[in-house]
Amino acid sequence: MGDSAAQSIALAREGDQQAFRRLVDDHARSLFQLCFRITRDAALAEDAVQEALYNAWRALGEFDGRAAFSTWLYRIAANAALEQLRRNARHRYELTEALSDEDAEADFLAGLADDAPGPEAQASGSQIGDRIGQHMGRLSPAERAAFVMRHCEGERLESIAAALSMSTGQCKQAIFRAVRKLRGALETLR
Amino acid sequence: MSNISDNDLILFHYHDGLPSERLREIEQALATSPALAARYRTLRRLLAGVDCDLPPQPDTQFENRLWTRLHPRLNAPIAAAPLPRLASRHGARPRRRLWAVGLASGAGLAAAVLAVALYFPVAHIDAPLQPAPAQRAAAQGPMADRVLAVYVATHLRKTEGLLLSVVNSDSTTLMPADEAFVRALADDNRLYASAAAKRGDKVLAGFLKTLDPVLIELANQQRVGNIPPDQGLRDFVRDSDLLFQVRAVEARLQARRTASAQTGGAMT
Repeated sequence: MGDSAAQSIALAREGDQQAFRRLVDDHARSLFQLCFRITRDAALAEDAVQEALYNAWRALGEFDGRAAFSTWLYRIAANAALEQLRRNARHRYELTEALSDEDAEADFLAGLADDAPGPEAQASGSQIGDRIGQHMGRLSPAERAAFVMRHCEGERLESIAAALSMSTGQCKQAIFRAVRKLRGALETLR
Repeated sequence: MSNISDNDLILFHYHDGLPSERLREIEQALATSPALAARYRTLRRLLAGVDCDLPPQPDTQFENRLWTRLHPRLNAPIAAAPLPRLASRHGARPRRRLWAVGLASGAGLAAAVLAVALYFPVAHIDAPLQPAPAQRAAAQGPMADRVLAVYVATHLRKTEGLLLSVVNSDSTTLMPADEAFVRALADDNRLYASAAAKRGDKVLAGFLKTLDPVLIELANQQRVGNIPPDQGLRDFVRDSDLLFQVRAVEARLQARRTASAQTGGAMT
């Protein structure tokens, strides 16, 4: 974290709103990307970023610097994104899925394994991105949030579990289910 | 050796959630079991595809719009409703000494990234060679990210070209490229991985580290060019998803660069 960012955090903690504005400008887009990956809805993502930044402003006194500021913000944003899904009636039914620690699914990678370069090696990035995007929309919010934080943000499982109020076992299962559901994106390309 | 499930491979991929001895066990099994290696390649292809699922970019007024809605709320009285649960300890007094140490240790990270930008001669943007003016100091973080994204994207384009030349070459020598060029790519790769790690981009740093052994091996192949080429290495580059991953990450960096460029005018 550069000196200017550290100064902005210090000033914002003292109530300097212009300093907080600088932090908003620094992080808003990356927060939007995270929130979009969880909500799969641009409007909800923007609302989630709005709420996340407001919550961050109110909780600045609790930021103790042990984690990177961006990491701290992302945890707040992930919860804000899930909260937007709870509030939104269209998505509310997705949140009733019970989280389980137990793995009830069989292995699936062998069914897809092929030593020859797959067609996805020839497909354009945007084609593959579209396929993956469709399948990401079929994950539950908890699965998407856990998977996105692990794969896209590089967060450790224990941190993700703490941020999303689940056990580490539930976090693992959410990620396993996410990967399993995403395999359909490769299957449609074969 | 106990059975290795798909879930084990997922945790192995992220090096998270498994004890060290289990990670070693899986690594050894991957080296000796073609079937397991094929399953892991499939997993890597799948996860590389996720990097192609790029979120839409907000419009140029995004930050201004956020602030317009947010600013009045900052001054409003706080409602009685409890704060949402946060990752940090609720209600803990800030550990100012630890916080100050944390911030102090982060000093110079932006300088490290800019040092990368100034050192390497490839220049596709007008990177400032003078220290940023004080009023634009707040832009140094995103600017450093943009610089890093530009240079790493260029580096990955060169790497892609090198890998393609290896795959497409029918000559008896593995490497049609100049040794100095390949060595420079290998050196650059390590430096960019380090810069990405310092910027907190663990995903990019991890990906670049996976390229290290391939680039080093290719550079070493060139050095011992009189010895018959390593067909295994050529087959690995041909049959693995490495090219695909390089393209996917390059696409992601280009998108990040575009997003950062759009926010440049929104900074106040």
